[in-house]
Amino acid sequence: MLFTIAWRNVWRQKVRSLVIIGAMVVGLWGLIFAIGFMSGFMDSYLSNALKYEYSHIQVHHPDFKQDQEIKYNIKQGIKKVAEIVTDTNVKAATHRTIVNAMIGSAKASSGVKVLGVDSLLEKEVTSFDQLITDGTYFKSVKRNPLLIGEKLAEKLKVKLRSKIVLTFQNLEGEIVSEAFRVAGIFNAKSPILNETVVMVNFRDINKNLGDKNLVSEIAVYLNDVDKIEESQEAISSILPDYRVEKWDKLAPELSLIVQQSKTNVFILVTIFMTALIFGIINTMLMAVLERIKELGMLMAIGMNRIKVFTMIIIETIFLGLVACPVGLFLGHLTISYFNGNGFDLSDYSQGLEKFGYETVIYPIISGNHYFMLSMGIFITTIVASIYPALKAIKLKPAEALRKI
Amino acid sequence: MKVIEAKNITKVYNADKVPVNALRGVSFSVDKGEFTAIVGPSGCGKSTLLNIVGGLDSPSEGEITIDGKDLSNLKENKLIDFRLNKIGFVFQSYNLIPVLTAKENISLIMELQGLSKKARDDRAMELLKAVGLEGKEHKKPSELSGGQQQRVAVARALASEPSFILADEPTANLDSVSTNNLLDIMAEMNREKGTTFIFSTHDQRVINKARRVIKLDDGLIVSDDNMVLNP
Ligand SMILES: Nc1ncnc2c1ncn2[C@@H]1O[C@H](COP(=O)(O)OP(=O)(O)O)[C@@H](O)[C@H]1O
Ligand SMILES: [Mg+2]
Repeated sequence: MLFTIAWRNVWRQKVRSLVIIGAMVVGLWGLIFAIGFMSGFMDSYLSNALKYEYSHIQVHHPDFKQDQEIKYNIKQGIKKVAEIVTDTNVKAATHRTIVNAMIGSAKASSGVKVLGVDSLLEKEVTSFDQLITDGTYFKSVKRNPLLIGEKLAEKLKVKLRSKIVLTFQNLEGEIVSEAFRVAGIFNAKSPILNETVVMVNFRDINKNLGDKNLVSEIAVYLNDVDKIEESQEAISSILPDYRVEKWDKLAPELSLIVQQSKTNVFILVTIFMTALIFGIINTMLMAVLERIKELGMLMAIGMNRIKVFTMIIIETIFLGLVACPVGLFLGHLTISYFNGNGFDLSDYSQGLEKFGYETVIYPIISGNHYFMLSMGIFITTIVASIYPALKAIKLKPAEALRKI
Repeated sequence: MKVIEAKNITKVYNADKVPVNALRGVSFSVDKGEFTAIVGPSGCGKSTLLNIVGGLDSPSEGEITIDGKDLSNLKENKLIDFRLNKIGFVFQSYNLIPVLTAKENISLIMELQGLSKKARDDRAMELLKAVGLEGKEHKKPSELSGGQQQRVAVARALASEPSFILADEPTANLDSVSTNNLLDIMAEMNREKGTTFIFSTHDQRVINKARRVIKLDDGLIVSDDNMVLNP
């Protein structure tokens, strides 16, 4: 009967109970939306960065990271790529040459990182062909085609088919120059790619390096990111002498952002739950104080303290039990709606695009988050009910009954 | 057989500030089957005495024995269990849980005692009938009159089959018809089932119905009369 009493007590002061239940519902709803929005934001940012830029795993010579020179290369790199793709979890893999060069147009010049890529493999790994906004992906120029970012093209004042000269050192340390022609202009999400990278065909750059099979980097895109550890091991066994790194090592700023967004969620939830604790304590304290005589009577006739305590706790949990499903449901509806339709941020998009973010967010939330929030509400209500419940059992029946 | 034995009970409230001597050496005993009134003007110590006898408060000095058990050594939790099983309570007001029906209010105490649902239901209905509230089992206290609420309280007190029932001014808020009605029901229970009642009052009509009258004044027993005749 404790449950019956507790449940009916919840509805004894309907307005008061509904106010606190309403606060929980709105809070949960808002939290779910905020979490969904942040997750969606993170997800698209992360998957863009992985898809177009980093891939999941990259292989380099152990010294390459410190000193990006062509002498730190991967022996038999092209053959190894063929071996790597036999792993079923590997969606695609490609080899690249990376050369630091001077880039010069008729009007200006600048430092640049040249990626020598296998155009067919490259688009499987980085979908780079999808980023071309003007011209083609290596097709429209017969000899020495080159892809350049919008920003850099602007800086060098070059257009499609403009001639560009790359100047760099070969393996012997001699300075070499080679002329290229702009085949396509790309707009990558990453400002670094847009401003400091150009792409050319692997063989066009390698023929000038003194080793036509020189490979600086191998990039691997996976089917299932959850199995990244296994794939990393498999690749390490194919290339035991090289550094095989996962994306979070390659791009520490990415994993930092992911970590930061998790921390943000945690902070938001903590703030909400803390505020909620005080709201619930207030509500339940009122409920206990206006029932002093009744509680005194119950203890007088023989309800022991554990039962009185439990009754107050149950009553509080009921508040959460009513609020939680409603809040989760509203939150879920909202997330589902925007997940289907997208949440358009284009009013603020110029700032966002600059940093490589999408302008339409598709909020997403995991079952894990729902579970975490439900548990959070459950624990919060229990924590908040302890003080009022203690207040209730501290009553002395004789004194409680004497109170008017 | 003695159900209550009080020896030299004193009670001082606010001992460290302004002491109030509510009881100043009260000794008496109650036998099984008594129908006893504790009477006296307001503030003479009736409630204090009943609270001590009922194990709701402890005396400053003196000894209280219920059913042969000394209450002074009982810890609070044991005391609650003792009250649950040995003593029935009827208070002046706030006897019932407002969110429970008449029947549920009566059942609650039996549930605390661990009786089965069937046993509780049967006994609750039986008691409601005995106090003349058949058909009101699903009414909430707010849907009952003051007199009806007190009758539910008496039924609730009886439900746990206690050694005795303590009623502190049970009729103080009732009109004379309801007062008579309640006293008649209590007297009937006393006659037919042998239930022991100790009730306090300062209402002469209620005093007239008692078989024994213990008169308190200023924390002392001033008279203790056993009526031979039953009104
Ligand atoms: N908790 C308390 N604190 C201080 N004084 C009290 C308390 N309870 C009762 N008293 C005093 O003790 C005396 C007896 O009170 P009470 O037993 O309630 O009398 P009655 O029930 O006969 O009216 C009164 O003077 C009352 O003011
Ligand atoms: Mg009194």
